[in-house]
Amino acid sequence: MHGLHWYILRRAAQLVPVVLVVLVLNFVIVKVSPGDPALTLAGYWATKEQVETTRQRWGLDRPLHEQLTSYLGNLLRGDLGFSNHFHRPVLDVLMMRVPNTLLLVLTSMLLGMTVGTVLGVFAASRYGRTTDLVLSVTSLSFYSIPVFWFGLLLVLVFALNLKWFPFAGFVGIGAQGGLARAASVAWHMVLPSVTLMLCLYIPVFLRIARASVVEVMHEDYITTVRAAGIPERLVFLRHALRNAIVPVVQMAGLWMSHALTGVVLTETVFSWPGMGTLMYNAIIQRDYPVLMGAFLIAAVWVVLVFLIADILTAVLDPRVRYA
Amino acid sequence: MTTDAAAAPLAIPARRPRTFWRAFAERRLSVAGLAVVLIATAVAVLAPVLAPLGPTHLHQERLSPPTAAHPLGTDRLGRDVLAIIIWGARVSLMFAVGVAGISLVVGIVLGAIPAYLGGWVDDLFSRFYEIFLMIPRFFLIILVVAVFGQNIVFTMIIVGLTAWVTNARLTRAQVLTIKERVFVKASMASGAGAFSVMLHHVLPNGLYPVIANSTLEMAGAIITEAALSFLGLGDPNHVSWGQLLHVAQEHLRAWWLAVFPGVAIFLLVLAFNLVGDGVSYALDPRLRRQR
Repeated sequence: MHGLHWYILRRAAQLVPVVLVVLVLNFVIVKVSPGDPALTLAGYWATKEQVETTRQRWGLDRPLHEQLTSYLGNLLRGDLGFSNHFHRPVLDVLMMRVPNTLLLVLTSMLLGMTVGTVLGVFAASRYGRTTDLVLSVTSLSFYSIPVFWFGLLLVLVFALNLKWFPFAGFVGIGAQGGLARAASVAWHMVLPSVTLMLCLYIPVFLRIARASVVEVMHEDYITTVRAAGIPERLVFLRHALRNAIVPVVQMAGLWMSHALTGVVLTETVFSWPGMGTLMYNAIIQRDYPVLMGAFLIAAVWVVLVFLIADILTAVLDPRVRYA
Repeated sequence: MTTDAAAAPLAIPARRPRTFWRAFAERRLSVAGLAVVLIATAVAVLAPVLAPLGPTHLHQERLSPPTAAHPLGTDRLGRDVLAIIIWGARVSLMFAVGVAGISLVVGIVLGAIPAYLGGWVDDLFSRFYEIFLMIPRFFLIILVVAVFGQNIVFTMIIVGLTAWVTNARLTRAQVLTIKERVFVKASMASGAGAFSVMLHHVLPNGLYPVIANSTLEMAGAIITEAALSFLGLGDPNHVSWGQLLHVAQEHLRAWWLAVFPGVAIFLLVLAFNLVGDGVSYALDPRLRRQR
């Protein structure tokens, strides 16, 4: 396991400067944007003097590099700034939204990944036959449907016309108490997670699992195993699947890294109070502290997910460690 | 692909096109996708003939369901949905080609340089790709568009400039393998300059995966444009399919506003995805061997 430890340490060390650069980049992106945050802060009806007082109070008149160092200093103390729009610390705002998005994304992704991988392996086992063709084409078709359009259609049919599901939001007003609240949240989550599963996760994992199994089945070692007279079922189950699962894990890592920011359109259609809608509104309302905090959380999340995915890959596929 | 490396420089350019089309034609669905793309292109070019009144002509009937006069209905201002879809094809296709073109050029340059030079330059660029992958791309686009203005050409450039990473990585990998091949070494030994070798031997032989990826990128670009318009960040001076979906959100009872533009987006995106599938199949000898 010595090689594995080194591999993990090396990957972790490589990621630190990346986070730092993302931080500075975030800061620059937000600062070069036109529009006067002091004006936004002070409000539309503020006088010139009031705007200037606000500017000084929030340190917006100081040189950029000073603002950057004080921003980084505050970050180290766990202070992500204050949201003018929510009148709360940015960290509080983010912590209210992150769990909502993760709930939606993780549920949809786990289900979609399972169904997609199973279907993909099944398609690969029927490689080139009608079942394979039908599965592949259906999955590519669903993948080509824009999520926001599919969501809109689901709302139209199942919420507005059939009234089976609520058409927006996170939890019903009447749902008090733990169990009733959980049930209500689950009820609200059906349409958005069906959207994500059908248009995104199932097609993505079906495709990668199928391609991966097909590729592995053509590798030389499989020919060798076959030549040894092992029954085809066992060749498939015992020898092909383990190697074929590596790309699936990598793909899971890639999509997991998009978890916080990747479902903004689905969240928008269903008014899901997650990170996507938060960031979108922060951009529209020029709520820069929230936006910077969200970019930061997103970057840290990506780094952690990449690291975990790398470790998993190294555990599954020893060849990676020494590459 | 031939394993006889010495014959490669002559054989590849001469034989590729013929086998390419034959392999592509093996995939019936990809051919169908290509047909859809060509039809959409024809519709976009012939828009002034097909919908002579233009997409912004205001008819008497507002929010009219599909009728003989307006086969796909009208929106809240009385604009004909069919006309908007016909003219919107121009926006979607131009956007797709523009984004793919920009990311193709930027990706090739930013992928070929580090691979060819190697060493610390290569390491630096690899870190640069990683950083770029870590920034939430769609939000970067939303931020830039929301802050700097909603102009279709500008949006196209921004989306293109954020989409190059995959192309750069593919180019880098290709150049890394090809520059070690015998025919490249041979032309360098015969005194050709590095730039000339790159331009005449390395890139032409390594571009195929990048081209396949660009086809898929066109599908992605169409969705991105539609998504931005859907969020209300479209160019107000051009009609687009996504903008109709944005309007549809406020008139959910007018189902024709939600259904038809979505079908148009879906068909064109599916077509590009099928073409991309066929292109990768035709260009990747490994895929063809596995049958």
